[in-house]
Amino acid sequence: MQIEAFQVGRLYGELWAIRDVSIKVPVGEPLLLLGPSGGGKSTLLRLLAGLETPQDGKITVDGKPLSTAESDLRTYRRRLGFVFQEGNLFPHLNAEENITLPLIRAHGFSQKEAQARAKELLERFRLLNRASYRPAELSGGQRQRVAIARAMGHDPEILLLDEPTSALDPEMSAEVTDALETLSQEGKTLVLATHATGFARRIGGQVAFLHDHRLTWCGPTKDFFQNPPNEGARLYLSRIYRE
Amino acid sequence: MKPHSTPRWLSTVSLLFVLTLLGGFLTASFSSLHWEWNWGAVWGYREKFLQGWLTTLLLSMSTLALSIPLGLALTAGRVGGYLPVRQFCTLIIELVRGTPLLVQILVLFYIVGSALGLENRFFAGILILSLFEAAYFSEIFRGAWQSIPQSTLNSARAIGLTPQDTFTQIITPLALRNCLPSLASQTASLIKDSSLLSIIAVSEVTHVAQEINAFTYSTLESYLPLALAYLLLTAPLALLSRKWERSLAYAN
Repeated sequence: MQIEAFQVGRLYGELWAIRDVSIKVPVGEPLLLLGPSGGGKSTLLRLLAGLETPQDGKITVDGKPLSTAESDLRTYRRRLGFVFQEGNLFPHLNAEENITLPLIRAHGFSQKEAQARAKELLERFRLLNRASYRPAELSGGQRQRVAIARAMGHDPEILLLDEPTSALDPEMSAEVTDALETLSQEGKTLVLATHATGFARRIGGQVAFLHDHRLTWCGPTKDFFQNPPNEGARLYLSRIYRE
Repeated sequence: MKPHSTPRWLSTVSLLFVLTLLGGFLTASFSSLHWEWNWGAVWGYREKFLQGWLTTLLLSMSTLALSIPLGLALTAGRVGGYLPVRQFCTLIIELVRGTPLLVQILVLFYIVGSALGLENRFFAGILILSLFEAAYFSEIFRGAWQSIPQSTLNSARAIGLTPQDTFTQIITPLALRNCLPSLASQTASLIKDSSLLSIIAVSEVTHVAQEINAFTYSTLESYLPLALAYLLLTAPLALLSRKWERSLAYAN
């Protein structure tokens, strides 16, 4: 699955959240969206995920422009997995039901197949003993791992994550980043907006640096950290390392 | 959030104390009245009273059954729908909520009802009360619907649910859970509100109590059982409402 953005722009009120951004999502290696808060990372991620549509430019999937009709976008979103910063899970459903719901409703699984798949995923993320817990009874790290398990249910080609560890303490973050590293090593394409630079260096792949609503640099993660490519990147990294 | 727990024996003793205090106060007030109780006179009307109570029950249940779908329709019209529909629903809701039920009953029965040729007081009463309660129910539904966080709805979009599935699988169960306590307490109000239909001589229990009072001149003996008769219907609802409220607090 080849996703590409051509000079996309997204307007909120009178402000361009991002402008003139062109990027190609690499296949088989992670794409890290880095940059200061408010720089446009989440917006780009939501555009790539088909959760929003650009007012300017276009997004293509396997060379064909992505339709802006909601039903087409829904079909597109079903090919992907998406994890939000928080508030991912449905509070009235337990961990297992959160995973089976999209499988049954959006992917045509039978109840039995969905339950088997949910069990498999929960086991994989070491959450099998939490299957019947509601989100309110889970820790933040467990909730995020259930959310990742849910996004993985239908084995999507690409998994997109919007700051999946920002709302978690370091220990819980580690639970989540470990799970993501494993997924990445297994060849799942991850696209993720993050501030976790340590994790970013470990996972490698490509960096897209967004600053002031524009994409100012794109290249290998190793290069970005070894030799910050521009003034914005240097400033961003120096601020992060100071903490 | 959970209040510090009190031992059971202590809360029982405390409850007995409160009841004694309240009972003592009421007894003292009544005895200072030098009221000559005359239960014998009202006893003869017990069957009529029971009939009135059953009418109130039937009236309330029919109103509940009618006002909930009507309330849902008003909510749907108010939040979705075309501009004139939206305006119409908003106007109805605000008119109903902003004016006394007494006036609505009189105007709707004697003016609108007569114009439409609706003469059965019982059915007219159900229709009028249903409109009144529907306006309140619709505000409860709207509140419950709006209390669903945007992040939950985003999640539903992200996993590719259709709007229909989002409504049936996510919005409805969450909103229902949120509004159950308010629904129970509004239903208790509904039962008491039905007493105002006595003004158009629907033979519900309040109207019967008024009649018994007129026949026997035993005001307290007519109205105290009336209070009890309503309490019998509303107290279970109050308990239910509190139970649902607690289960909500834990679930969140």
